[in-house]
Amino acid sequence: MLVCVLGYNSRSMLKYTIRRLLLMVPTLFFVALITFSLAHAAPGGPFDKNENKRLPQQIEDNLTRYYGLDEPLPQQFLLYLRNAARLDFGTSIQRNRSVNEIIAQGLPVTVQLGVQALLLALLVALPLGIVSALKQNSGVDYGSLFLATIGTTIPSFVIAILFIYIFGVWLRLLPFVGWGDGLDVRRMIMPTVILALPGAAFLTRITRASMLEALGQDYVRTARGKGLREGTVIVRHALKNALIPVATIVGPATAGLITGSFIIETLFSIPGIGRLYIISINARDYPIIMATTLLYAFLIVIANLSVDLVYGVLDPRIKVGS
Amino acid sequence: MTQRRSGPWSIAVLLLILGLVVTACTGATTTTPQQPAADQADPNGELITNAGGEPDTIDPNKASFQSEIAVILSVYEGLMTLDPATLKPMPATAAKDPDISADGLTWKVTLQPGLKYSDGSPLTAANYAYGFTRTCDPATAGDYAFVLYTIVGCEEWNGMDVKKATKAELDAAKAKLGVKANSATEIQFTLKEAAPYFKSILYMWVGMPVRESDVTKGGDKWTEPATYIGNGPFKMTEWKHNEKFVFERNDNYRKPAKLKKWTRVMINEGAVAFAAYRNNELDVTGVAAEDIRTVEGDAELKAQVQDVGSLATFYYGFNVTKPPFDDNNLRLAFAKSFDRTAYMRDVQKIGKPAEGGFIPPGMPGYDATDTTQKFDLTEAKKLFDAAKPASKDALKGLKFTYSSSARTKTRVEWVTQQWKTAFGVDIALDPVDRTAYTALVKKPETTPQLFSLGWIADFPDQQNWLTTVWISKSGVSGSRTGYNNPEFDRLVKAADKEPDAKKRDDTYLQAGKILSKDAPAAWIYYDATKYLKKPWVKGVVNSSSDAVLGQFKMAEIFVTKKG
Repeated sequence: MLVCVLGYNSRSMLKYTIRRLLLMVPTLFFVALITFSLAHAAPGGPFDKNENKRLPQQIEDNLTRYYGLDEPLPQQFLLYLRNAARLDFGTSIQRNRSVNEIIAQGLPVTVQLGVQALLLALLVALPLGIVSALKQNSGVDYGSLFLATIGTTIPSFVIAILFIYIFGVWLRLLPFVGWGDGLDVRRMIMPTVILALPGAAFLTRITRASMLEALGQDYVRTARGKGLREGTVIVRHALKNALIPVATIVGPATAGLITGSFIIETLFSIPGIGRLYIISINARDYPIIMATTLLYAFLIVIANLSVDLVYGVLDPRIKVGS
Repeated sequence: MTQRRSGPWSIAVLLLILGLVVTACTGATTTTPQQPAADQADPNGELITNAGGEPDTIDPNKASFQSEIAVILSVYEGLMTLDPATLKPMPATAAKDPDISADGLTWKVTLQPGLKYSDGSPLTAANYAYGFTRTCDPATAGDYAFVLYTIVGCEEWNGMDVKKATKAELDAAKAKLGVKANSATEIQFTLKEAAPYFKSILYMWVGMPVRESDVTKGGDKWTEPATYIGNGPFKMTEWKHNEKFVFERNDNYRKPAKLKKWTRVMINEGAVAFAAYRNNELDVTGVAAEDIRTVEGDAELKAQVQDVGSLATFYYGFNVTKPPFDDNNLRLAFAKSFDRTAYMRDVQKIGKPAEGGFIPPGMPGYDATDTTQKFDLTEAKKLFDAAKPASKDALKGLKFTYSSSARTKTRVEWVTQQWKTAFGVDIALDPVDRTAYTALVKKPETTPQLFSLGWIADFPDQQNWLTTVWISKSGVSGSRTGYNNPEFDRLVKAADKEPDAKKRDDTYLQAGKILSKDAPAAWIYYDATKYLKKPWVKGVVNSSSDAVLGQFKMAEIFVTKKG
């Protein structure tokens, strides 16, 4: 389907996609190797949970043997890779449940939150950026600059607590605990908005800047000179080129939204994998750390690949795949 | 590009933000709905509290943390329970106190007749035997198995390697375990040596009547609601991972609970839980030191505060194997040179200053007469002067190692300031990530010179405080600090076995005083819990061993009809 949309260049684009997907395998291998080494290099282990309640040495030895953590590291790593190839990511040491199951429960929530935030950010940032560029130095322009500054400078947890108090406690408009079953709109508003804010702020500025640059180009003057309607000039000519830098940002931004949702998830008690990841790192829960890192790496590779393919659509001059 | 005047615009915006911030910070007034004066229990009453976070496991034979114990004790009930006021063990599902043989090695516990699980099926001694056995089973790999090591065969079996040992070897070890169901209503325990404290252990989650058919049917997922069937005041009807637990009244419990439903959400952030409480989304929430000012300033909140003791003592530990703290006088000098009362008032705020030895008030063995480490600057200076010069020299470059967090930093800074004022000693702060810190303070080779830790009771008996923690070489803190006093060891070992209750208590008191004088650690404070409770929640009986609200009398909690 993607091939049909792309039309021009489709065969080379297909080959390019396949090549990129194959490249993912060594990428993920190195991610796994580095993560494994770092996780085990960190002092402390999964049984050092509470400094005040130390496990008796014998119990700790029993547990270490039980989870196979007494075997030499290279052996543990190879065993891990063998299982991972069969998509068996082991059992969480901290939670005693299968890693696949834990991630399967948390991932849809985080993805939904991330996608909602991304869409909201785009929905707000693109029009705002475009209008700011068109009406430079107007009220809208300064307004968007103001919002963008707030979004990038004030940390999300400060805004989150402020929102919780204003909309949750004081005005009692919005609930702020949990995620519901993914359909509770009132419950999802605050976390989505706060997660979208820094991204929207940044995207607005980028869109405005690249739009201004595109509007200053010769071909736009030519188009206007030709007598084309302003709308056509903007959308068919300037916009497509203006969006290329934006597309560059969206790829990593998506990955960032999914990985960076930790603070939002913690504050709003949302059962996603962002929060799970940080907790697992502190707890030295190696199976979860490995699986989540690999998952993020995979998502980032896919996100970047999608962006590169979208380039081909936006600008046929960019020969994706040569 | 023309410069637009932005003056009035930006000032207006600034004022708007300021207004929002001020409103939010001065705190929204809590509007608690009007309550009828009646103390009428609502038979369909529902309670909403905060479980804090997702527990790692709620398997009674594996659990070790408060959040896990909270769930287990809501759904299961052990042979014994504890009296909330005195923490003395009392029969729960047992018909009476255990029958103990003259040599203290054989314990027989008789069950009450007619006990049932929440699904109506009968509960027998065999179920309890299964539960205790499973805790000792090496295949279970439970954190708290050590507490049953006083039972014959438990330690040996639990220490076997399931991957290397043959089935025959494992079965042989299991057969030697001193846990047997003699009949449908009698369980027998055979102990290695006389252990009066075993009676307290019988209330713990490690001895819950986990049902074999549930474990077999559910496998790894047996702790999910469908197979997590117990005999306690509530049954778990829902567990939405990372989100909430829902419990409902167990109609087959010995004396059915007054509450119909108890929901426990999982809010990690204290500030958010506090906001939820003010929004009436939570009926109970904890109060952290940072919230005290807000709570005291609001008349309504202030009236809802509950204070409970907690069985935990926090201390500054010394590594006694090397200078500077190899010198007893120096250790005692440090212990006596900071004002605990001022510390509690200005910094810690929740809890009581430790002015009576290691064991906290509320525990048997608390010694209010143990004033050895009491704050006394003159005495402290005398002790400092009397210390060995070599040890005092080693004070240069002293580091205080602690588990890194903003809160702990303030506390450590306070005391290092006190020591500087008293002795002119400069102590550097050495924060370490929590897990790394836990690893450091585990082994005597890596124990820092000066560190900060606490001890929280496993069960309310002196054995769990003096012997378990401070006995030389194998004690939890005895090993890490290098504390070794043969007289102390002799006293606690004798007291552990002593059948005469008065003699036992006295021997422990003696040992406790020696411990305070040897000062392998300086006791700081006894922990406490402060929480807020809505006025419509009643019947709560607090105890200092609570892992969950009203732990020992959960069935008594009720909510009044909402107006």
